[in-house]
Amino acid sequence: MDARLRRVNKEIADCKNDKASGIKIELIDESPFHLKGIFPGPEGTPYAGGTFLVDIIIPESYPFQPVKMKFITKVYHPNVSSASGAICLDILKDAWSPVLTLKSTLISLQSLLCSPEPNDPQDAEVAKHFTTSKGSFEDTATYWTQIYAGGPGKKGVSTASSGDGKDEVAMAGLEKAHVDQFEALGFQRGKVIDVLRRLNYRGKNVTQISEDRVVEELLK
Amino acid sequence: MQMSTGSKKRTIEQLAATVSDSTDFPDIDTAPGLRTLDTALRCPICCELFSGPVTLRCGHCFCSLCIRGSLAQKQECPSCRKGEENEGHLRVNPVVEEAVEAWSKARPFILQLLHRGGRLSGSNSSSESGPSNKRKRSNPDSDSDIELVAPPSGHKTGIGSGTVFSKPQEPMLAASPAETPCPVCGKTVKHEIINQHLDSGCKTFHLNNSKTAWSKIMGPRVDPGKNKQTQAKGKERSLSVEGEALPKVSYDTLKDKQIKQLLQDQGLATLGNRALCIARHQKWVMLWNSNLDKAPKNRKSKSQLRSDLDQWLQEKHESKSKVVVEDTFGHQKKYESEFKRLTEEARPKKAVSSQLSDSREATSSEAKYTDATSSTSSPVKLLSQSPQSPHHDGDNNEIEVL
Repeated sequence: MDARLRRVNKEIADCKNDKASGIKIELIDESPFHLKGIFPGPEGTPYAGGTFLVDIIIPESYPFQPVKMKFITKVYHPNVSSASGAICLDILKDAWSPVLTLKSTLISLQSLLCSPEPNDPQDAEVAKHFTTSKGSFEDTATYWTQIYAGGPGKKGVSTASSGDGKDEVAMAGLEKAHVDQFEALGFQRGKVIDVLRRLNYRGKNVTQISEDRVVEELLK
Repeated sequence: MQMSTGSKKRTIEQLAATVSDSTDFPDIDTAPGLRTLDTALRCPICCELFSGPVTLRCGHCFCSLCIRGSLAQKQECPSCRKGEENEGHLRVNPVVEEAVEAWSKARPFILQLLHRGGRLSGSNSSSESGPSNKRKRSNPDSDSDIELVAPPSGHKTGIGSGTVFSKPQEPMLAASPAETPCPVCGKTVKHEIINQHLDSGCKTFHLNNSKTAWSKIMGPRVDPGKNKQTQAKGKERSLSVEGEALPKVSYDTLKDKQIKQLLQDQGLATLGNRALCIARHQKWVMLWNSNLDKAPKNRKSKSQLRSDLDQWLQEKHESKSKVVVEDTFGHQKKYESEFKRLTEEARPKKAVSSQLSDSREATSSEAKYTDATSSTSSPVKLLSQSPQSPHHDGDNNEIEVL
């Protein structure tokens, strides 16, 4: 058994024995080098109450090369791609050290959720949302946690019955009134949401972006 | 990335049960200090008990082989990130080595005492006790602390046992009158340098070897002369006896032939392409030098190192080899839904814009394409390459459709 496999086995055992951290590791297929990490969303953040799944691939030269991690669960966070789940975190790249373990890396991901770093974003749109109107960003992040990570949600009410439209607007972190306004001009609802999200039509920005500009974008 | 390291299905529990770690000992309330002691004597990189412990300038301690691997990637201390460290800064830590040696003997004994005091249950010998001559290992227990551990005498491997002393040593030169066994380390040393040898703390002292050292640093000179074979053999013997550290080589400045000569000098295989030869020699230098950081009696013989190298190369080769799908139809069928979904996702715009029949045709041809590529890469990889939702950043293609 090579050193890499021995170390991975130890790390798995370490997570299994540690019940306090709430971090779990599971196998995805038969390979011990393709794993699934599970951790709870940190308390006091929009991610609280959610359960986040992370895809873990142990490279051949582990532990001298960093593990490859990306979110399986969709997360609304400036440093996580909302589409692919790719993570922007220094220790997963050039700041990796061989003394870091799967557990400590998953804990780092947990703390990344606590402290977003919008100046070094993975998802530019989400980062813009975060910097312009933090309150609206947190609502959206809470909503995503509720929908994708099984979080409790802000209002504690299931929104599943209220139709797809409301979902889409809340998912994009937009206001329903704005979407309705442009939809009334005869544009498709999906398109309106997409353009408004791209233009970051939120909070203070609403006054800075003229309606003409939005329509122009919609007509492109 | 599907690696077939084991054919049988494994679970997390089985994987976790194959290791011996600090949690073999009960927690701090039951047995204060034991778990911490065990952790303290483990290398933070490989999580095994230290093997050839060395210290960096910052004071952090690692296995010689581990830290050499780490420094090859990044020249800093893995624990505190203090920079500008290199292999020249490594200092052997014989105190820790002794402590580890003692602990690896005491460990199974203490565990046995603990279990005798506690509950007894069926023994569950782990599957790990293979021919592990890679590292000295303590008793490979499962991590459960309710397990009966066999008596230490039956289990001990490696340095803990008395077998060390009968370990087949490297073909030593028969002690000629000019040589004498060192009273401290037991190695055969030339009589004239025995004092220097003792003064240097049993680091072998060499007379007049600066010339050979320089020639090694400056690259190997391929002697056009006669009898290469015997020359290489002579060198090998002198290396194994004298225990001289190998210098690092800047391979880029060497020709293929010179690299092969380097390997030949060490008695290694010269098969394979340039990259493989370089990798082999690099690993060999690492194995060799880290072996020298161990106390002489704990060192491996050259043939053991060679088998370590072979094992490493084999593992490297195994993990490199791609998973070949033999039953292509079965494979297609198995991942049919996955492929379909991926194809759909890969082209959301066309499906909207073009005619329904067109898009169907396109989808079927795309499906064939995906099937063809998937036989070499796993579906997981494909999944990560394709956009998973129309939400991806900066994608304004959907607007163009209007």
